[in-house]
Amino acid sequence: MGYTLETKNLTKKYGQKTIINAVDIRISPGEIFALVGLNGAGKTTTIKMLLGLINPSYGLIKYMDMNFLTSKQEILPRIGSVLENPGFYDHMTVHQNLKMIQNVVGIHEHHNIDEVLSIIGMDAFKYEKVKNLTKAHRQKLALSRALLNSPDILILDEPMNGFDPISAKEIRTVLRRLSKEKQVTILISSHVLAEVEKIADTIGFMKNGKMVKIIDLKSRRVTNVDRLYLTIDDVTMAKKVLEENDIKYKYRHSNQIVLKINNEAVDDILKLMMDNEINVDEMFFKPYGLEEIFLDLMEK
Amino acid sequence: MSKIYNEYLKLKYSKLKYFVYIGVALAPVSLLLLVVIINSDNSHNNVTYLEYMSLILKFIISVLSLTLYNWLAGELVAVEFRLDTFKSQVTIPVSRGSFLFTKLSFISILVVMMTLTSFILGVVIALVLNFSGFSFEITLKLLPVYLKSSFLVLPFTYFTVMLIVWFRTSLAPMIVNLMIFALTIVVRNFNLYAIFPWSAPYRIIFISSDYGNFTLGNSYFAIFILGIISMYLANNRINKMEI
Repeated sequence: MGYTLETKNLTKKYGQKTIINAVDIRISPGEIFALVGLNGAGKTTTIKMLLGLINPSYGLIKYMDMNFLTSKQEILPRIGSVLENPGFYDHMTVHQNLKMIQNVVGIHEHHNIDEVLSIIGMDAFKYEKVKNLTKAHRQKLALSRALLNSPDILILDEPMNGFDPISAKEIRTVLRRLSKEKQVTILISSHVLAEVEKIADTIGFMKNGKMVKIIDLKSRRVTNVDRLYLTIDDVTMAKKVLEENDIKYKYRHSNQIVLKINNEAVDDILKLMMDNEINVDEMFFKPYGLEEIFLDLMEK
Repeated sequence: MSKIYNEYLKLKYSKLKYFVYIGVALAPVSLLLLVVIINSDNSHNNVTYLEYMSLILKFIISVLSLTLYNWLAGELVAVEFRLDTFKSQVTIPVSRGSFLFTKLSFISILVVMMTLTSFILGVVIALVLNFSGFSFEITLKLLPVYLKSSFLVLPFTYFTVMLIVWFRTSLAPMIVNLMIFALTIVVRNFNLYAIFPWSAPYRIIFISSDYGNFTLGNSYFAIFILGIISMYLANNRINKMEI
């Protein structure tokens, strides 16, 4: 089965500066792919290239096996998007803003606006002027606008910006339902991992314009690499032994060090400590979760 | 048509519409006051209907079209960048070329309608106040002149739109337009007046004989070239624009 969205070697350069560096993304139908990275990691630039707002310097973007750069006008009507700080005509009402989109895209069923507003929980604000809406409601309106043409793909850049926890949960539920029930493929970007890990099937971590890691959450929630916490009496000696044996560690505080190892390697570590007469007072494992992966990647 | 209708809705629900009303009423009303002052002075002959309508047209061509019309045209485009709505339109998708074409079409309709409404207002005022020399025959002869004038000033607005697309803000283009406005006053003393695109419409409408070495055709050509180059540059810029 083909991918709904596929990028190969997607690169954006401004002069000599590489902003996005050879990003490869593959998203299957109905999948929720989260693009996670700190501010300035390149998420928005990547999304802008995926929506044709910026032209890539190199690389390929394919939607449903169609080349995006040559079939933009065919592909874009099948995409709904929410961009960072979405713009609206502030002096017009929510309904008027959406009606104008309907006029352009040619969806003339009046009920469609009501339906979309109801899905997003914006029905009460139908006749409210956009200038009176809170940031969260503007984000919801942007999401309503994205859903108006019943898209096959949703591309959302920081869609939860300004949401309170209840609204964020509601939107997550809507997105999950669209993905599972209507097979809508979703690409969502965020700089807050906790926001997206609850709904994403796959997470791609971006740093300095590169896709540094892609984790498929469907097949495994955590990696098989765990962290071993060791409390020992002679930290100086332990550090020396570990360095001699080329084992990576992190010194935490006083007499605790942390090793990133597999389960199978525990016996070898304990033997190493005993051979060097280092007493291990305490030892425990902690799973290596997404947050740790994220922080590790960002620190590197 | 639906895109043009959207432009109408945007104008209808924005404060810009008040400036449209002002633009329509400014020439007939302000010149009426001038006429009242002149007519109250017995040493002068009364201003006739034809003179009044001619004053309105002169004011529109040499002042309003270079200032208010241009500012309105600029704002109608600049607002899309200011509110970040251009970005969302392109992803709907409205092609960039179509976006520009819609804006220029709507601005053209607006300028023609504003000029014609000023004309109608002038006629109504003259009729109600019983201006000397008023006749429907003259009115019918004046209508195509007003219409032609409105078309001749359209390239000014296209030039402004081009500047807005390049700068994505209305401040720099308005400064450029004010400088051009000042320049039209300066070139008045030179033969270049006939082929300076921003003064050429005045020459075409009010000075139909040859002007220095320049024929009427030269004046038309200057305006035409301004319009074509502005549209080309605006289209080129908008298609390459990174949003």
